Parts: sequence; structure tokens; C-alpha cells
Amino acid sequence: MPILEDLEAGVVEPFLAVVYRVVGVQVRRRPGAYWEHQADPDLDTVVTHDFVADRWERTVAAVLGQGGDDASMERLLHTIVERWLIDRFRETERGSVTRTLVKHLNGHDDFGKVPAGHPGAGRWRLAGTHQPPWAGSLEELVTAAWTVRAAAVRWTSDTRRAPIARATDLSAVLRVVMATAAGSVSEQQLVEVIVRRFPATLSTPTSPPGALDEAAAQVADSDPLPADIWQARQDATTTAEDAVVVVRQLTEQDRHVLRLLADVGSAEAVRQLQKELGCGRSRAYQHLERVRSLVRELTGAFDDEEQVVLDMLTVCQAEGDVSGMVDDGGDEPSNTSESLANVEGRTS
Amino acid sequence: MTDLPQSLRLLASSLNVPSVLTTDGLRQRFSDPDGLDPAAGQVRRAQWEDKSLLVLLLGAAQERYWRVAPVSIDPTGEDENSLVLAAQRSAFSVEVTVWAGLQACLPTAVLSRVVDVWETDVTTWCASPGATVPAAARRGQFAMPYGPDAEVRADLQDMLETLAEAPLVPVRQTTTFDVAAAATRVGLNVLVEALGLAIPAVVKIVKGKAAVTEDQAAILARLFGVAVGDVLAAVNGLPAELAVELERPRWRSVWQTWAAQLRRAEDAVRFQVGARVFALGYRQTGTTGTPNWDSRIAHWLADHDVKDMSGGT
Repeated sequence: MPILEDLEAGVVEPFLAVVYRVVGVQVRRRPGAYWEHQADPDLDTVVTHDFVADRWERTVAAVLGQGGDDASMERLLHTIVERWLIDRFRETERGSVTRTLVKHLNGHDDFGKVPAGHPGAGRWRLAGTHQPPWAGSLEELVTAAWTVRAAAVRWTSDTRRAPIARATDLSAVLRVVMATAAGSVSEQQLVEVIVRRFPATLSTPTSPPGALDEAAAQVADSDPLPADIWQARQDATTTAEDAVVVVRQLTEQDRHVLRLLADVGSAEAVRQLQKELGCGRSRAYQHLERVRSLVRELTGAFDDEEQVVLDMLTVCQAEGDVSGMVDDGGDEPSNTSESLANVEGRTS
Repeated sequence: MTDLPQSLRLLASSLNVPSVLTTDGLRQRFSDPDGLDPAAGQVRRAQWEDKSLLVLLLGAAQERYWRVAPVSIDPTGEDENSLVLAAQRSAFSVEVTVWAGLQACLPTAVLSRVVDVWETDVTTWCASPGATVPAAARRGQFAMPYGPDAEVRADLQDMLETLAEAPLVPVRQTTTFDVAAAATRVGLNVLVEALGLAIPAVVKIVKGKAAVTEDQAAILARLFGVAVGDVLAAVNGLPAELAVELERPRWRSVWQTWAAQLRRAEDAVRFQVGARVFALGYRQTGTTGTPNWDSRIAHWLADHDVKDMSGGT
């Protein structure tokens, strides 16, 4: 009897067995939330217990509501479990953004914390001002943040804290946000604004069904890209160096998308991604736009810098076959942050 | 017995499925959840091949289509054009999102089981979102670009697009192309030779009492000097009223069950039954009169089973 029919009849165990199997696959793809427990031989069981405790009611409602055959039910379960694992990991991410932001605010004289005993105690405002707590639409602050040209810096490691952006850029964004607020702003509100200002950089995309391993590629912070670096060093212009810094913050999957864009253009790239990822057009388009936005955020540009990176990738691709002959001299920077001036937040 | 660790087997024995969502629960509420005709306010599964989605019916659109808004439970997601219903407003007992900004027209043929019915205030708001949000509901929040909500939305859009393209029952279009006249012009013997069929079989095709395969349609199209689509529409099409009846959700469980047993597409099985019901009706009423297709399908199904379908079209 199909598992869904069992569940519709109130029989739980066969369905739980599928959940257990799906959890086993997903927790290996998305280990972030259980990073410290990866060696646990009972990891799948532990995670299944956590998942059921957290999401049983919602999952059963979704599965029984949507219906379909067992294969489509299992696909839905993969999506549900993957997003649950990402949500758990995002709780950590938000915490990381908060810590980096607070460290930045504490370390710069431009900003002041409202002292205890005053209205809005614990909030942040521009130093030297005495304005009351801000109460307005978050959209206004997000819009103000977007008026500042700022280069994001991407997560480069599971163990280091993300710097979010170049320190000078981050200060500039925060100054404009606080000036627009004309009042003190809470840490939570500031985190929300910053996350929306750098959405592609600070997002953890889920992968469409079928792309089991590709999306798990981590940012290549410790692996030099010989062809890229070698090529960049042959061309010592500032533009090329900037481009290489951006390229090195992209995952293999991001680079692949950019190469597709450079090679065949948007429309064909979307079609190609649909095939590769086994997803629909809207999802493929979203995937492509996220990478474009990511490049814009990392370059700190609003338009033309994306083309610089595309050109750079084209050159890298053309030189790809010489990568085996490249003598990188052993002095390559081992991570992105080394190449960036004035970047903070590298503590564990 | 499933391959589960003991602790999970124990866990399974302590878990429940909300009774209102079980088959028995649905039968208690709707008597026959697979047999109800579509109506605004119903929350139904929309399914075609391996795509399945939950939708809220907003109203009938053009003939053979319904205007719907997709509903998500998990992953939930929301955007500024959606309505998020509190747990007490639906049978799902958890918060659910109706994506009013993603309204689409879906063929009636993709609608299947009813799983809930929502009150008019929800349907009205979703059909035309206004400032006043229904009780125990809230307007969704802005979806971050590239965030999880935007991903849910993109997946729903893709799903709707696929479901909207599900094949309809082909409807006979006598005005576009007259097969009998074309056959007379070409000559019956030529058709018999080209199709490699006996004369009675070819006569049935010409008179519209037997369907053709796509290969046969291509041969006829070449002989008649018309497009393949014109031949298929003229020969294989069924009366519009029968097509509407075949696409009603009440028959879907039969089409789906037989399609699975025969390892054939649902629309092929649906059409094959329709063609046989039509042929029966043709014999009984000739070309005049308006048959009651509902009862004719029911009678045909009562007299036949899946084994009668194994011969193909």
C-alpha cells in the first residue's frame, strides 16, 4: 500500500521511516546545524527526533494536504527537511551577524549606545546625538541603506565570523541608516536592515530537487584558484585585482552560473540551469538573479562592476587549461580576507 | 515492519495524524471528498503527473478552468500579497499561507480531492486583496529577495505553470475540417492502403467513431493536405459536453488508478474511456439528441474494468 495512503489511514510508521531516510540524506548535505555531531553514529536518529519534535504537526498537514504519489511526497519531505536544517543554521547565522555588528558599533566612535536610565537604553544612535527611540517603517531604513555604495564580504568559513562588508562601507551604511532614523535603533532592527541590504550575500539558498551535491559547495576560501590568480597577477590593474577578490568569494556553483551568463546570456542560462538543477523556470531565474545580485553586492556596485567580473571569468575560463602549469610562487593569500583592506570580524 | 531504530519505532507509536485530515475524517466531513464538484472556497489538491499542489478555489474562470490561489503549509513562506491564516481557521491546525498574488487559471481536470472548505471572507480577500484583512489572519510580510520565502514563491509559480499546461480532453471541431469530405475526395482505397487497415476500421475513422494515433493522423494529414493538429481535432475530438464531464474531479480516481495499472498517461486513459462512451452514445442516439454523459460514463464504468482498456486506442 502506498505510504501516503497508510498515513491517510492514520498509520504512521512507514511514513516515519521515509522521514528518517530523508533526514539521513539532508543532514549530510546541510550539516551546519549539526556540525559538531557529525561523528555521532546515531546522528540520523537524533536529528529525526529533533525534526519530529519541531515539525511533526506541520509536516503531516503539508503532506496530507498536498497529496500526490509517494515519489512526490518524498520530494516534498526533502524540501521540508532541508529548509528546517537551514532554518536551524540560520539562527546561528543571525547570531553571527549580530555579534559582528555589535563589535563594529563598539569599535567605532561614530556610534553611541544609549546609556541605562535613558529612553531606548541599549539601542544605538549616532554619537553625540540625544534623539529618542526610532519608531517607523523598517523599509525606510532599508531604502536608505541601499543609497550607500558598499562592498559586501561573503561568508568564507564555517568557523570564522562573517565580516559582512568592508569596515568603512559598513560604517557608511550604518551612519546613513541612523541619520535617516533620526533616533536610536535596536540591534535587532539594525541586523534586519543589514541582512536586507546584502540579501544575496547573507542568504543561504536551498537547492532545487535533484541538485543534491552541487549546492553544498562551500566558498573556496582556502583553495587558491591558480588560473584565476595567475591571470590576475599578469594583469596588475586594480580592476582585475578587485575582480579576482570577488571571484574568490564565489562558490563553484556561483562561478558556474556566471560562466553560463558570460557564455550564453540570460535566457539560455536559465534554460540550462533548469536542466541542470531539475527545477522550473522561476526557480532557475531566481538562482541566476541571486548570483548576479551577489556579484553586485560583493563589488559594491550597482551596475557596471558585474560586467568586470563577467569579463574576468571569461579570461579565467580561457586560461583554465594552463592551470596545471601555473607556478603560483607559494605566496598566495590563503583566504579572501587577506586581500581585503580594512576588513574586520575574523575572530572565531 | 520498517527498517527503523527502536527509539523511532517507539516514537512512531506515540505520534498521531490529525483525524480531520485522514480519509475517514474527510469522509465524515464531505461524504465523498473525491466526488464533490468544484466550488469557490474549497481547498483542493491540484495534481498532474508527478506535480501536486494545494489550491484555494476562488471561482470558475472560462469554461473548463478555475481561478485558484496556491496554498502552502510547509515550507510555508509568505510575501506582501499573501494572506496568512491562523491555525484555528483551517483544518490543518497550523498556520498556512494563501498566495493571493499568484492567482492562476488551472484546468478543472487537474483538481482532485477536497481537503478543506474556507469561509467566504478568505475567498473574497484572496480574489481581491483589500485593506481589511479577515479575522484570525494577517497580511504576509515582504519576502526578502533570494530568501526562503522568495524560493517558495518561485517553486509555486513553476508548479502552477506546469499544472496550467495539463492536457485537456480534445474537443471535436467540425467547423475547422471535414474529414468525411476530404476522404471522399482522396478515395477510400487510398486511405485503406496508406493506413494499412481494413475497410471497416477506416470507415469508422472517417465517420468519427474511432480514434487515430498520431502516426495515423500524420499519414492522413499528408493525404488531405492539412496540419496534423487539424486531423487530430476533427477525428479524435469528443463533444464539448462529454469533454467537460470527463474532466470533472469525480472521475479522477478512476483515471489515475487505471493509468497506474496500465502504465499509461492519465489523459490517454481518460480519452480512451471518453471515446468508447462516445461510440456507445453514438450508437444509441445517432447524431441527434443530447446524451446524459454523466450517467453514460457511470454505466460504461459499471460494465467495464481496467482489463477492457488493455487494447489501447
